[in-house]
Amino acid sequence: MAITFKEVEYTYSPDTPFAYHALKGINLNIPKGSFTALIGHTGSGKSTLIQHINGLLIPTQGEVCIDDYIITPNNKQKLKPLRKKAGLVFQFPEYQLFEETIEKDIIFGPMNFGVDEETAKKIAREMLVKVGLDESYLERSPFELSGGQKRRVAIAGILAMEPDILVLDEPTAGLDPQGTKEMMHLFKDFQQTGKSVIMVTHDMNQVLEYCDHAIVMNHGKIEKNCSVTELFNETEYLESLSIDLPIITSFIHQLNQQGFNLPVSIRSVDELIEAIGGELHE
Amino acid sequence: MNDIVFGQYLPGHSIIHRLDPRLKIASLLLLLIAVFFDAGFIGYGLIGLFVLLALLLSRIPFKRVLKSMKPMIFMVLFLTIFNLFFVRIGHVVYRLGPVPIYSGAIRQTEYIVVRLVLIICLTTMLTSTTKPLDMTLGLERLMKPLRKVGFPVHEVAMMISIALRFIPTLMEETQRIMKAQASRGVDFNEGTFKEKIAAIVSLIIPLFISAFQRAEDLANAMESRNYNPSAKRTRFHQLHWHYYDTIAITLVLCLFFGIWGLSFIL
Amino acid sequence: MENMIEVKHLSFEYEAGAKTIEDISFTIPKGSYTTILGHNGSGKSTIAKLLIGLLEGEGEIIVDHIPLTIDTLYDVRSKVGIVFQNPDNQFIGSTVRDDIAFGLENLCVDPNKMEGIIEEYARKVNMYEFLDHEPTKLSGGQKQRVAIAGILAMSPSIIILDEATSMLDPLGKREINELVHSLNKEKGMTILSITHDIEEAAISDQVILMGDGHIIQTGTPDQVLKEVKTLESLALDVPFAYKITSALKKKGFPIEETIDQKGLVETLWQLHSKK
Repeated sequence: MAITFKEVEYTYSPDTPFAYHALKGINLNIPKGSFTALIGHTGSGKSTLIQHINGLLIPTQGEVCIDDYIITPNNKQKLKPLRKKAGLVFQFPEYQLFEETIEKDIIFGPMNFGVDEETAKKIAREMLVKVGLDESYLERSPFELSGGQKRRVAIAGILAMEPDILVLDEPTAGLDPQGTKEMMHLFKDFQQTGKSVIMVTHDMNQVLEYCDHAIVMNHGKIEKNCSVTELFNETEYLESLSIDLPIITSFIHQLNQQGFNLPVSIRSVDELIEAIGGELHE
Repeated sequence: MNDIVFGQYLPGHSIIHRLDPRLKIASLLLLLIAVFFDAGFIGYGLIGLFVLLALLLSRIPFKRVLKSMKPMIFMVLFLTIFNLFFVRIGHVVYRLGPVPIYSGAIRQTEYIVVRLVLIICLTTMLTSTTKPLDMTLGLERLMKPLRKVGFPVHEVAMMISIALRFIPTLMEETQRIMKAQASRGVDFNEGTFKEKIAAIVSLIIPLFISAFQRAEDLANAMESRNYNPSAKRTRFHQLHWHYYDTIAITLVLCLFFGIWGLSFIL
Repeated sequence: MENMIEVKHLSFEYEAGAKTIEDISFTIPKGSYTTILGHNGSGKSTIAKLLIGLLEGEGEIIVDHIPLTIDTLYDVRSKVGIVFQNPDNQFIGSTVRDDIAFGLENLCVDPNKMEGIIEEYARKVNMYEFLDHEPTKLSGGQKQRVAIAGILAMSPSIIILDEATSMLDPLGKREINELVHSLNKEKGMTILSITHDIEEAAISDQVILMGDGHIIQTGTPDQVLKEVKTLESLALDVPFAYKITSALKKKGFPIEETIDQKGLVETLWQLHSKK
């Protein structure tokens, strides 16, 4: 399930005084099975870009290809099947819950896409467990849950659509460290079944730990499209955008300035400790 | 959505924009009453002339006023037909097939159309040249006497201004929830009646829940900043009465009493 | 040292029998930067609401020498400014100017003096150019800065940040953190920050560690944040510098556990140059 953007432009409310040119000449290729981070400041065009992946927005110029789906400005085809393929999780998805029970809310998506009730319920059960809640929750109301639990239910509702691509807009915003960690592992597991994950995030520690690919957007354009290791090597560029380095990488840079010679490709604390230990032993 | 012109503020710095909102609201009320005095076409002519003058001064494009009448076209048409066919005063001037049209009917229809047009023009003038906040403030001041009979003037004014503040936020929220549900396979445009109901439910419930959450947060934020609805507060926005407000109200009063007087003579 | 806030045996329950806060006591010294650290649902945000009487609990709360009662409710609130989590839901005015004015109106400030006060505090938070902007045209960080200006204009004795940066992007977060730290360092403003950010706690003066409605521990960051087992059992992170130093110590390097990252670079550099 490859994603390709060819010369994509997008303008909000074109031909009005409020016209806003949000995407400018986007060329992009996201290979199947990757975990891609989408980075950039508020207003850089990230949200606009991800809404093209499941056809919520149609490019005003150029074309977007999702697998065999080709979307051009005068799109006539039904977009519903595409929305099943590419599951989009908006920021604070807990605000999209509305059914009386958690089970009903999770099967809402799959049933909209034509899955029969029994199968949908079976999937709902699996997904609920996957997001870390047990079956006893099925009959409960989503509105009596804590904020973090609500978010898990909402994400289970998207996973239950069995998408091939998972698009996430700041999925861990507002979660505590434990909740964040569990959520990220969930997405990593999803990716390791051969599916693609595209995640908008501001947390560079997450990018370093979980992603393999990074796209940086600025003023509606793609400025970088590279591996995570390459990205964090470009300290000056990141600084110019006031994007913080991951805590590990920034620490490595500080030590290297003091005469250490640590590789910047280190991606976990354990690796870092090994490497520091190694240098001190020499 | 952008087609709805009626009731929208159009930023500007004209003399009409600068007039005191209390004056503008009071003038609107007076002139709306004057529109219903039977002062014949001389009366309407006078009001029409006044509106035209104000419109020129305010520099609101004519197009905008015309646009604001668009939603009323149907009503005008309906009233015209209704009157033409059913009012039987005066003599028959024309026969539309078997239906006789009376001279009185034509006269009344003309009156109704003119009245409606004037009402819309006047209201559009007020809303286009007065910031929502100033409007609230003006209303609050004008309704002040009602506090004596226990009407919660301050609270109502606060409610209106918060509602105005949150309209854009809730519009954005609606968009976001619609997109989120569309991502879950909801089709807001097509589908059977049952599917449409389901689609609306999936939008309304989250919208309500989030609105209530916002209301609670907002109440906390207001209280934490010492808001006490029953206590005295000062107001940052002060209304200042200028000499041109006095001139304007004198003009409006002259017009009002002039037309009133005219209605006795005619 | 003089205390800005004293809390004695405070308890609170939303529903009978399920205590959200159970018998907690703590003090916040004047001029200090205190963090209340806990995971989501640990009861930490309830404390903020109790401190200004948005919720009524059992026990005693004294703010700047005033015991909180029904009669002193508004006196206490005028001493405490709170910045809440959601930037949108605490923006009351229709423009930045009006929003800062809101608190002043409640304090019955003379309308003729308001403009000057508003401009002064808008400048302090770097929002002067935005005075006539509507909230929908501002970023989350800018809205929180306006919230802080609105609070500062009411000249409070203490500012409480109730997860005020958790919905912001890194830039917004940094701006707010820098602003709050400078208020603390330069103006001596007492700060109470409710957070689950361990690195923020690490640079504060006092940490109150919360778990399930109880205070688990109170002390300096050095005392509280080295308790790895406790932190992990509370679903919290361990400071980065501590992770590195404790692991290196276990490997037999002559290094002491620390939570101070800058100091750690120094120490490692010395070890490195000695070898």
